[in-house]
This record gives sequence, C-alpha cells and structure tokens, in this order.
Amino acid sequence: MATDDGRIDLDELELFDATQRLRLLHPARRRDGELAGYAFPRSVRESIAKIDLRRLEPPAGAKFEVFVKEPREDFSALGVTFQRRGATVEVHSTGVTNGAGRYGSRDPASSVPDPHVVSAIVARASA
Amino acid sequence: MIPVGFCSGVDTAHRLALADERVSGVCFIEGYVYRTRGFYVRYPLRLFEPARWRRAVARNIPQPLRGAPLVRRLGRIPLSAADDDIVYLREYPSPGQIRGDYASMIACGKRLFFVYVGKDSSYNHANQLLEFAGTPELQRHAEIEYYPRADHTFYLPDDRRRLVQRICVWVDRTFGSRRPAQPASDSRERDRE
Repeated sequence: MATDDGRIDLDELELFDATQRLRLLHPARRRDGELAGYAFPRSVRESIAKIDLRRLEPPAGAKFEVFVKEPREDFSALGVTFQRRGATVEVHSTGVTNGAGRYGSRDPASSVPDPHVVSAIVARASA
Repeated sequence: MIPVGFCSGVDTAHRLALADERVSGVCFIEGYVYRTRGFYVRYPLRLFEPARWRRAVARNIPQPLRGAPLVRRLGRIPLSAADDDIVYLREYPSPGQIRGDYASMIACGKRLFFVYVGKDSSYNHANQLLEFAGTPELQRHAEIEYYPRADHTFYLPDDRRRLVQRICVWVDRTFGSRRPAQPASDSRERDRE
C-alpha cells in the first residue's frame, strides 16, 4: 500500500471508529454504510480508496505553499510529483516541533497552529 | 420559546426557563442527574454488558501482546486518547434547589422534556428522575425519555435520528396548538377538558 493511497485514510477512519465504539461501549460491528458516526456509503468508500495523490492532476498553473514542521520524505515526494505535472510547489519547514496544530484536539492550546507557523504563513502570504 | 439544552448547555436552558416568561417549554438533554437508590441497585448490572468487558480487556492488554493474533484487532486501538485526562467541571445545583426549580417552572405552566442515555452515565433506568424529584406535578407536566443504548455524544447516526424525531414529536404533541405558557393550574384545567 502506498503511503499516499486513499486506503490509508480509510484505515485511519476505521481505527478511529473502532476506538470510539470501544470507548463509548457500542458493539464492535458497525452497520453497513456507516463509519465514524456518520453515513458512509459504499460509493464514497470506493472513491476514497481510489485516491492516489501521486496520480492526481493539479489544476493548471496551480501553486502550492506547504508548511511543515520538519522536512519529510513523503512531503518532498508529493512536491516533486506536483512539480513534474506543472505546479509550483514550495515546502516551508517551520521548525516547530511541538504544538504545531493537532487535528481534533479539544485543548485550545494545541488545536491551533503555533504562532510561529502562523507567522510563517502570514509572512509568506504578504511577500 | 422552547430552548433545547444539551449537557452543559442545560445550564443555560435551565436559567432561561426560570427567568424568561416567554419560555413555554424546555428540553434538557443529558442534563442534571442525581444518583438514587435505584441507580445503585441497578449498578452491578453493568457486569453483564459484554462491551464493558471488551473495553476492559483492550485497556489491559500488555504491550508485548498487543500484536498477538487473538487480540490484534483490539490491540490496534490506542490505550489512551488525547482528551482522556480532560475533566469538565460544572457547578451543580443542590438536589433541593433543582427540585424547587422544576416545581417553579411547572407552576409557571412550562412543559419539561428530559432525555437521558445509559452507557457510562449516572442514569441507568427510565424513572430515575422521578425517583429523585418525582412529584405528581412533574409526572403530569414532564416527559422523560431514556435511551439505554445511546451514549452521551449520540455517536451512532440512528441514536441522533431517534433523538431529533422524539424532540419533534414532543414539541408537536405538547405545543401543537401554539398556546402561550399558562400557569400550571390553568393547564390542569385544560387537561381535564
């Protein structure tokens, strides 16, 4: 399975669902057409499974500014793929290793990007 | 006006229902709950719920065994979540105050609808509220719905659907005539008609 395969996202959703069901004392087996507490038809599942970011065509003339906390091989690979297809990609390493924004966090301090990340984005947008 | 409060939102709905005469009814979802003798009598029944045993096993699988074939599915589930240590603290009215508040709302002609769920809550049988604050007036002017299989977050779509439908039924049945709130004595007369 490739690292940017849509099945990775499905797998993460299924793990989230299994975790929630366990914590909230619901049966482990979920109904067809549901996932993570919402309707999730088979057509949506199949569409997501087919997503492969390496094969997606970026819009013509698209420009991507990617802000990451540290350089990673998969970020670079995605950038190279988009560049090959004619997009402009710039990857910015913010150096922030803690509190860069944790998706789904209920802790206000960690659910928003670190001020340094915001500053980097604003500076780039203003340039 | 019919405020609907959920969890800590009940605090606001409760105060609004007490203070604003335009409120003709109020829906409390997973609001104030007080453990009663009936709650403690039923508490051991939790031991017969397979989901609790499954959760207990999952949380206690030793790290080296989490990849073992028999428990691999459970072993994948994180032992703890990011928000496990977050505790929500609210100021709870005293039992005497809450009983008085409900009596006051009813005396002003307001209709009350209470929704409670089971699972990890402090509510475990349909009549627990009546056991705690039961008065003939409350029984007459309040409806209580207990969903033992729903959880506090109404995670399952069917549970959310059932809840919304039930609230709609209560509103239609109770306020279908769209009469404004009247004192309890008046509404009793209306009930007798």
